[in-house]
Amino acid sequence: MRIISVNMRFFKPNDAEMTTHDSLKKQKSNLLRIWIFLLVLFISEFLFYAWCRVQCTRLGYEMTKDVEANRKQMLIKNSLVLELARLKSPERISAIARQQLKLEPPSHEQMVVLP
Amino acid sequence: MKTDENKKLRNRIRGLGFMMYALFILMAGRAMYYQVFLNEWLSEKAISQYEKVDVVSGKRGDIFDASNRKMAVSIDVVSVGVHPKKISDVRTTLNALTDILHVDRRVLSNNLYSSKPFAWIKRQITPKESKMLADLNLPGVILKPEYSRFYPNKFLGAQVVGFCGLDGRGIEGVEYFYNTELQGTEDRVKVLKDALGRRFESEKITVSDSNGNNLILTIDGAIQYITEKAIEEAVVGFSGKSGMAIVMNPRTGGILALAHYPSYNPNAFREYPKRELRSRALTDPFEPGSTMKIFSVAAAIESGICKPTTVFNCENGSFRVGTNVVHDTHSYGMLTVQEIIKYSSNIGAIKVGQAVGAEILYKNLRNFGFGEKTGIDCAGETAGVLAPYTKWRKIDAGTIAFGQGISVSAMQLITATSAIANGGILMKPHLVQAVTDTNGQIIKKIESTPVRRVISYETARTVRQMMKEVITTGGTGMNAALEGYAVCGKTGTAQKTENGSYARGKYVSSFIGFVPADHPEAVILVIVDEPQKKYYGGTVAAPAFKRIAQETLGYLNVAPENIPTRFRVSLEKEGEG
Repeated sequence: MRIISVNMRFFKPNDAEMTTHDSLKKQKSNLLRIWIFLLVLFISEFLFYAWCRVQCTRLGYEMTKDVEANRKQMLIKNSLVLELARLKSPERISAIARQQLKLEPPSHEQMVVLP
Repeated sequence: MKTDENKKLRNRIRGLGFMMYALFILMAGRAMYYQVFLNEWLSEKAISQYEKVDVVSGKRGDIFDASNRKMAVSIDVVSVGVHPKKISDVRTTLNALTDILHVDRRVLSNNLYSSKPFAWIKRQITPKESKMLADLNLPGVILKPEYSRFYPNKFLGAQVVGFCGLDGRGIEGVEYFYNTELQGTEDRVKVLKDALGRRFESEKITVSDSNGNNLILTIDGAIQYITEKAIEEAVVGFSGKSGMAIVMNPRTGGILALAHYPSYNPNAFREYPKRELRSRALTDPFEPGSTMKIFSVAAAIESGICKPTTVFNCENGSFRVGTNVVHDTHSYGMLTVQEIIKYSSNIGAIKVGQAVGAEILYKNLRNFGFGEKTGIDCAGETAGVLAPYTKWRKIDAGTIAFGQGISVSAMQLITATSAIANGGILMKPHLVQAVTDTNGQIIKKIESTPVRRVISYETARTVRQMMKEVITTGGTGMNAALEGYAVCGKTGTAQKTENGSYARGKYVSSFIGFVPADHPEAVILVIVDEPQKKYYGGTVAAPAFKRIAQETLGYLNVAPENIPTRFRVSLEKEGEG
């Protein structure tokens, strides 16, 4: 009712001649607009909420995918770490030093002690 | 008439409107009832359809050596199991599993037709097998991710590190002793799964919180390797039955190397006999022989009964003790206590033991830790055998003084010798120096623990001086002499017992010593069981000691004591410049 009375203030002087029927029609039209606005608002909110949920789920799938990718990378890393451990094993290093490079532990005469 | 009809129609519309309103209110009430009053029950019902609980097992912690080399790691593997009731085509599943996994068809068939809800088919399969099964996507067949223990250095330090069973629990060595620290925890994690079973959300993505702690050993992989090669060479070279060698830091009690030969590969421990799996240096007691003389002499000096210059009659190599006659390798007449150690005279040691007396000798040997466990952080340790002196026969003080009638473990022997190297303070031996979390942060540091003062600093210095003489010309340990470093040592050759009497031709050859003599960095014990070609400790074990000592000192950057003159001159010139 308050909205209608506000709208009435903008009526031109010749509007006073308008019939009661026209006035009711105008009121109904305003009410409908309000209802449509509220409806659009609620539908928009619903769609936004649905979009958010879809995004959450999509992100969940993406995270799961990334976690799986990370797990696979970790497996590769672990196998590389093992390979490194094997390559650095004293047995292998010693064999290369003695057989390929013909090295042997230095005698005490070969040692230089730095002050 | 028309007005009546209109009125009737209006009433019907009103009635219909009223009914619609009533239905709407009913629906709204019902909706409110479900939303407000049955909210929790409905939520739970919905959650139960898409929320599942996954059991996440934490990874077992890694084991590192003192130089941060990986000694034991957990790797991701897959195990295969079946839910027999969920298998749609048993024959196809049976054929596929037999072809891919190469398992026994009869056992597999029993499992597939079993009424049990679940059965394991094969644990820890290869990545290739896993991929082939995953591609087939057989109903009722599950591929369960697990962890398997892997030892990248294979034989290196196998008896120290130990191994785990299929369930990931430690069975031997440090793996067993520190199982609680190493083992990860099991966490229950809520995950959301869609209708196809795809996971799309979970409470926790990483499982690092459930992982076990890591261990850092006192063992150094390089010293361990040097020691293992030396003991292998000694055992193979003298056709021995087995051998063991230990390297210990006398100041801290930390074990730098603990080697056994023959050893085993912990990645395939089931293929080796059980006797090779245990750490014999801790579990197997033996008669130490002449290495025990240093402790008898230490007791004599500590009690003030003898001095290094005190002279004993060594009876020209033959001396009757009770009903037995004890012989020396060479005939000696009068020898000082220092010479008794240098030449390893059994008769001299008996005389020293008798002079000291059973009670003092027993108390001193107990102080050195014989007859009780050292308390090392590894399971299965023996206390050895040292009977109370009240139960000793008249001759026991004499025989125990030269290492007969007493049995010790290799760990006890090296720990006691470390006390002499450490100025008389006995340290508790240990294999682990720290426990770290998954990020490598130290959460527990295992400090060096002094057990007690065994002998005075002066006595320790005197005994060290006597042990130095063993490595000089004419001494039994000449083969252990190092270039550039003074060595303290003692040889040991003990006859083995079989069925209560000493067996002919079966000996335990040993050598124990430390280097450098005045500021010991490493105490080294070498034991060879039943060498065939020669059996004296100075011949069989001393060269292995020499090799271990020489290479270990170089690795530890211990400067030679007598630097050649030409280098000294050049350094002095550099200094002047």
